[in-house]
Amino acid sequence: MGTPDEKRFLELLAAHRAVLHKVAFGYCRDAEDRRDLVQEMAIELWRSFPRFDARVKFTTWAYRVAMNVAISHFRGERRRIRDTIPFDDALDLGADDPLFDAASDNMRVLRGLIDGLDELNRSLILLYLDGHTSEEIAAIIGISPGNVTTRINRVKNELQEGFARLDNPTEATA
Amino acid sequence: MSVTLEELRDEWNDRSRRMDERLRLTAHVLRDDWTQRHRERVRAFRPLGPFAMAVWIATLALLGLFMATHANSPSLFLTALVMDLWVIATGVTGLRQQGALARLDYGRPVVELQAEVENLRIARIRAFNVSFLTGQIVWWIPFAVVLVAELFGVNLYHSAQFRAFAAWNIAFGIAVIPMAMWLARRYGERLAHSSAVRQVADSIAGRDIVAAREYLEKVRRFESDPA
Repeated sequence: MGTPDEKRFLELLAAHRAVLHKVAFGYCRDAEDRRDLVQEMAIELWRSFPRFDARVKFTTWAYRVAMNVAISHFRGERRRIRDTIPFDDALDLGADDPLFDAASDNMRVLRGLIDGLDELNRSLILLYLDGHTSEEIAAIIGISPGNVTTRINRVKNELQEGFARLDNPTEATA
Repeated sequence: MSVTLEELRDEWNDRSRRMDERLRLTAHVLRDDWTQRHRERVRAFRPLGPFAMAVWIATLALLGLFMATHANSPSLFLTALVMDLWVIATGVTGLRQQGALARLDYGRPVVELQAEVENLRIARIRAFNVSFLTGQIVWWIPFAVVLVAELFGVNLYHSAQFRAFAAWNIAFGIAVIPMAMWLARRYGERLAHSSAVRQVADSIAGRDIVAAREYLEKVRRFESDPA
């Protein structure tokens, strides 16, 4: 049996595991890499749990940890957890792939949009897609709400310009 | 085809909702022995392993013993002292960096943590460069002198030929530092077929630091309100 803290952590993790899958989707194309990344996030959440400040919402904290791990993973800063934890022992957090790998037009557009962004803007757009307010996004990323709004508008404009180029390729090349 | 970000958000939310439902259908609570089973592995995931620490302490102890034994021979004592200082300096720097890495709080806002990670990376690259470039001096002539004195009881400094050889080698070693940096900058990309060689070449040439500084600047620009 684990300690009360461990049990509490596992309950919180179980309730928020979708966060890990969604962030992993934003930073990894390959399903196996994504599974690795979700494991890394779970380990880091557990390692950081003693420092969790209850004044911050658990969701906010979980997003911060997941995004920081994902960005470090994306930049090749962290060792691959696959080397240290055999898959048989990996934490079963459920599979997201059938849902997020679905080949709808919108998902393809979304994938293209995310792939075209750098690691910091990805975190911004993932939080926006998840329905967070500018204030919530600002608290997770550590920038001002005004900055969040401006940057999201910029991504929206880029997306629309991208579609305009696709719809009128001759104008784009002229 | 044209779609707005709001429409993409609707699709994302729909999939998120379905994923939440699917996850709820699986175990409500994760296996409660997971943390226990992985405690040791997470500990091993830390950068400084017990083996590295044991090697460092053993090296310090052996050099200390050597200095105590040869306290009446200034040339041997000073040679071992130079090595000892190098081992202490690199070890303490490594420990401090690893301590800072272990203390990283991933629960901090993204831009704050990313800037801190990058600053640590720059410090790590600088420390590696200094220890790599000075190490090739310390771990050649001084190491040979200490080893021969310990194994055969011979003080190589008593030989005029060795003194000349050592002087040339140390001078060459010092000259190699800027030469290695220049070679890494000039031919690093062409010479490096393995990623390990590439990393060393990039580090010596300062490319890693340039990349880290650029990323740090990107984080700062992201943090500041766009015009």
